[in-house]
Amino acid sequence: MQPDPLAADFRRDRGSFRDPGGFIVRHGEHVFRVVLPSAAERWRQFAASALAAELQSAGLLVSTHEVTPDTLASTLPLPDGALVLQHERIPFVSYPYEWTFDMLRAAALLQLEIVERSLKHRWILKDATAYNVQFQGVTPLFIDVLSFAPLQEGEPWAGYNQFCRMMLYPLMLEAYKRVPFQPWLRSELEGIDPVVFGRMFRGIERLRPGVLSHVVAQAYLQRKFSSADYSVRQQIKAAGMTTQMIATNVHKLRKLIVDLHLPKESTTWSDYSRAHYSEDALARKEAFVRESVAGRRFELGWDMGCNDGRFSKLVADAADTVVAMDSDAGSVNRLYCDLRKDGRTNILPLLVNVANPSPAQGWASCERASLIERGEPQLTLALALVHHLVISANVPLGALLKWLSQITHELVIEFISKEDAMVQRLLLNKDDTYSDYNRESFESYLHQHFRITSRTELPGGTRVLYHAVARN
Amino acid sequence: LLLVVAWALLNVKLWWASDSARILLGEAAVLHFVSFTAFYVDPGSGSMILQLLLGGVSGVYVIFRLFKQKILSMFGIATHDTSVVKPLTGPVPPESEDPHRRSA
Repeated sequence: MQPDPLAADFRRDRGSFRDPGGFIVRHGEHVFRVVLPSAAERWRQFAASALAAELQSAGLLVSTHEVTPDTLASTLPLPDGALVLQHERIPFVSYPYEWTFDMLRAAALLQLEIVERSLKHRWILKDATAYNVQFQGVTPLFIDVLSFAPLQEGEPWAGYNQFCRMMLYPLMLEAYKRVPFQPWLRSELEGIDPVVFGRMFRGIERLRPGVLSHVVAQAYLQRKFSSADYSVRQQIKAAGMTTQMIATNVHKLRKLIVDLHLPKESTTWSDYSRAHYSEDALARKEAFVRESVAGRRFELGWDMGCNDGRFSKLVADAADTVVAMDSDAGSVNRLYCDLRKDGRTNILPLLVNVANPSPAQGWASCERASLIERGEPQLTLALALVHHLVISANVPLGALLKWLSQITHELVIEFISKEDAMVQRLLLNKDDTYSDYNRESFESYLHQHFRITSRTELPGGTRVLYHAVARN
Repeated sequence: LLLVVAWALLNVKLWWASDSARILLGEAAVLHFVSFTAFYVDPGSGSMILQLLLGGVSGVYVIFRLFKQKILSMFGIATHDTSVVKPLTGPVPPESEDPHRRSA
């Protein structure tokens, strides 16, 4: 389907401005890339290359084809000689700080594989930002076709430092130090600085694979050369740097990352669905969710507090895409690994704390979009979530339901009353100041913002499920 | 082995920035004739040098070429072209004005 060229809502992607060779333009469902005249010849060479064909057929590169510039030219002024490409749309854009360890690891290995394949064809990636990878379900895809440049003998890989900051160091941080990388990447959009990261390794820790070479040495050299007033790039070219050196480094980086693993630790939620529900209650809950979506088709569904993804999978049968979110990294990572094995392609697991979803940030506070801006769901699941938000995170119950009505059209929500053992546990060391945390108030707030279409009480009497449609 | 060599090179504290720059500049003249990829990301000076160290034995050899003067003089081996000392800023002299460059 071709977009209406006269439509006014062609908008330049606000995160796409760093590469002088071009930028992304969105129009509804469609994603275009403008290639400016300075990069047009390079793109043509790449598009015709054996490398492009190889990467496309291996499913590593986002599917791309050239369209006529007229598609955009009537609404967006384009310089003469500019080209317009159309990309296959990524159903839901996600960011490295929402990925789990194994997702970032897969993205890093994809980058390195692309560099290795490129070198064989005398091409290279001129950067290595983690934002050049997007997940289509659980499959990482390289999306920036303008990152490819013809290899110049004697030049280093310009993206090596960026690769370390945005991919290698975050993985090392979690694998070696058991520190989650997501909060760091969320605030430092350029990744972790080598000098700062180097301070985390002392004594024998520096002997862990890759630390001495990629962290300590890089930090040392960065400090030593920070004030150099000559072009190191020219010098090393003159001294005889070869492509083989890049290939050797990239090959070793790949081996290093393949051997990085998440430390084995049990997580809070790992066996939640089995531990807190009887078989009967679980079956009833599944049946309710299944009935709520039966015979329907949703473009985008969210499962907030997805845990092991049991209900995300039910919704995935009725939705084009399901974003499965949880604030527990262990659960999300396990779900990612399960989905990789399952071969399911329409569930995207993301690490999201609903009490603090990803903000809009970066340059002009809009380079990276907030979670909500990236696609509003037609259906949202909020199962066994409300008590965590209200009692652990102190979000007012009325405000929570109002917010839900603003982000989703339909809602399947579970209310767990104070008598339930799980809620009791949350209140053990707190004063019970949650006077409106009861079924009557919950239903009243829900009714205020949604039309309740069905409800069911689970065996045990403390848990009630609702299917509701927003009034606005 | 590579790591040991790399670590040794770092630990002998080559007088990197200022001194080595003079030696480095000796090589700069040939660069008027070569083309470069348009880098819009700063690859980082230190990270570029590191890529030589991590690039295998031949990379270590290139490092040696880059910092030959310093490395040799550290071991008390005087080289005949130590006079390749250029100002750190300002224009690089053409090749013909530098009789010592070829042997560097």
